[in-house]
Amino acid sequence: MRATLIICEKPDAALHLAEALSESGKPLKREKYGAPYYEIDTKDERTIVCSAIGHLYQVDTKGSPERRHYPVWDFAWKPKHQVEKGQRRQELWLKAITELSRGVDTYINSCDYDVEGSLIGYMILEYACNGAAHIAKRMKFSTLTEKELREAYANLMPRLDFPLVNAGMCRHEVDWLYGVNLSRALTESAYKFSQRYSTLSTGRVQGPTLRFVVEREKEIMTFVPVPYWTIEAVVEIDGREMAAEYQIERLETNRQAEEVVDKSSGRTGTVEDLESKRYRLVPPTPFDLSTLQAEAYRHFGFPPTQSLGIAERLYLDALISYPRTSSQKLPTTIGYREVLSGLSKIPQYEKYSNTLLSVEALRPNEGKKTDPAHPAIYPTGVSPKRRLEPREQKVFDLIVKRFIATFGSAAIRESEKVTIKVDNQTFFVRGSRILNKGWTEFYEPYSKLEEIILPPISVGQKAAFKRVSAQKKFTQPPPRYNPGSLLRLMEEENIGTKATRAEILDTLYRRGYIKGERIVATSLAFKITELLLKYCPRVIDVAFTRELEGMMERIESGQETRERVIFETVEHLKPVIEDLKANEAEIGKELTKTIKEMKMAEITLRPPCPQCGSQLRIIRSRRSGKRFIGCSGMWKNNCRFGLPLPQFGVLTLLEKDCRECGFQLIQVKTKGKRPMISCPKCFQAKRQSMTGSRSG
Amino acid sequence: MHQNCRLCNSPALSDSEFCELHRKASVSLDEGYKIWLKAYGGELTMRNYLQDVLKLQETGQAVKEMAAHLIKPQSRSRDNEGNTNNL
Repeated sequence: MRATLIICEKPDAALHLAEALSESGKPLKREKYGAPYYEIDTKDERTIVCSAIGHLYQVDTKGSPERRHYPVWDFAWKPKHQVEKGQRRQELWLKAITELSRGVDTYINSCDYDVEGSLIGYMILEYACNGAAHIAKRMKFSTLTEKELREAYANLMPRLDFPLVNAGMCRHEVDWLYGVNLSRALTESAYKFSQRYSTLSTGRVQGPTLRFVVEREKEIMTFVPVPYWTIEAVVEIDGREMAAEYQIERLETNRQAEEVVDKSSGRTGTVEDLESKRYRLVPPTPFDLSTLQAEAYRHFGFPPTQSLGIAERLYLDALISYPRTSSQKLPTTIGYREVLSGLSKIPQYEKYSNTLLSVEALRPNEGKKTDPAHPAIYPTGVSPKRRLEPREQKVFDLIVKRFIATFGSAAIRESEKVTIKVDNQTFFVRGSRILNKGWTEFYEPYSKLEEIILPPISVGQKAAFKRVSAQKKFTQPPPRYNPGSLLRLMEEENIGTKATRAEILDTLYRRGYIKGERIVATSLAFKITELLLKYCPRVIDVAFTRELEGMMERIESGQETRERVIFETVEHLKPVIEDLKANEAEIGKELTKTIKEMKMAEITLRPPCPQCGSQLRIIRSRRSGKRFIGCSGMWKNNCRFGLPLPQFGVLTLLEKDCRECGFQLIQVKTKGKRPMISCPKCFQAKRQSMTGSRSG
Repeated sequence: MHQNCRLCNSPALSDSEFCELHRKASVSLDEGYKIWLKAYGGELTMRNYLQDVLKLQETGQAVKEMAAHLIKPQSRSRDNEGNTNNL
């Protein structure tokens, strides 16, 4: 009997594929060393569908690695469990795949069709299946629907997609060379100086991304607001009051503003002109991953990694197409009508799906971006088989409505401008009405068009200026990045990939380089960027990173070789690392100072001690091990001031103050629970009053 | 010449008593003063300007530190950095 082994990227994908390929739709589920797999037996063929659990192999130092040594230039791919601790599950998983591969004639890589999926499948086939990568076939699909999976299985690619595999290997190897050498240089420099271990990192994409945040922080820190004035006016035409705007939006001097108020306040002007214009608002383009992440952040506040995680769950439930795509194209092959008729069975999408189904020719408003492997993100038309969690429901709704909206007609808005003159001063009254809601109706509540309906007005009509005032305002500093806008910037600058960008932001948060939803660069971020700029400016040079990115992209299309990119990388890195090594002492000294200051700032409260004026700090008692707020003047001033703190969870000092007493608030985060915000001073007062009332 | 910035202990620029950030803040303050002066028709002393800038929440932290430093009496005779003649 012939045997076929199919390797999927995740267990859920394996289940969907096995169900699609089995005649009965119910494949036999088995388990080996805790790894589930499925068997489909026909008269003369046995098919085994198993899966990876993400990457099971990774790059590491060749030979036995000395974890703290740098520079390192020789590397090898090794099973993940041999490189990282706590990977027992991965070890057993690989063992299971190796045993399943015995006696198999045909091998198929059915992991997600992109650089990472191609690499995951290749590594398993090559190293766990006795070098089967060179005889294996490749399955290509963008959704986990039964129809598409069956079609993909019937039209297998005769061999693996080696350009994608090489591009994937190269990306991991280049990132490893950068990450391991630069991060070890920073960590070791700090360790050698302080003999204390702090994980510090930087990398090919991490460095330039951090630099964006630091540069913005510098702009904000050195920003001087300057005054300007705006004119707010209310005019009455034909008994109706309307807001009017002055011809110049921002007046630079106080005198100009006063002059406008003097010349118009209480006067009557004349309508001199009427103008109306029609605008076509074209439908939005389909979602690629970064626009989905940006939109999910804008509407729901979901961080990019969370949106990606949710989208992947929806994909594994066969509800949407593969989300790691940079395409904004929806080819006809996805079957627009089939998707829409599927969606019409879901009550909330029934109306608009049916509206579109009645249209003769469906044509989506596609964007410019393309992806050779996948189309834009679209709903498959399959109804959810389980009750979606609220966050999943939100992302699903956003994707469905966006898909429907791309097929809508353009919205038509008419804007009206009424020009009023008074004593040589010009004011405008503006109105707008929606003539055709078009696609905006499909995309509600994510798009809303405001209307200001003006009454009938004609030239020559009188307009009485009821109220005119000058408002003093100040210019605003540039806005801080949020996770969505920073991702967009990384994409615009072409650094990182759609699959890794969100992860890099997470690393920057984890390392303590950035904090907050409106991203603030910490002093450590300033120091790291300053040191990299001083000793290896090219490492955080966006142009250089972009150039390297371009080289790696060219591997995918066969125009560049992996070997040449690795050679260039090592050639570039060698002098940089040598320079860092030569300046280890100086770098270590500066980093240690900053880390110390940062750690001290993390435990120092803003309000001074109410008893002696010294700094208040979070202190852990050496005797009891308990933490509390104590006074730094304890030894000098014999000050015994103290406040209690919760003994559980991760504690953070917040920027906000208590509304009741003005003391600095604290936040306690416990895994799986909502963060608790509390005021230590109010807590103590409450506790004392309770103790008092009990004893009284 | 100072080795460290007078305001934050970071390394000072070779031709300055301030670090890069505070030097930039000083330049921004000087440029801002010209705009403020024009906005109020020339009726604004440097001291009043600095006091106003200090109160605004939009003002950058490094600028606030520099403004506070300039307002301090001992800074009035500040050497050649920034326009402090009107203090």
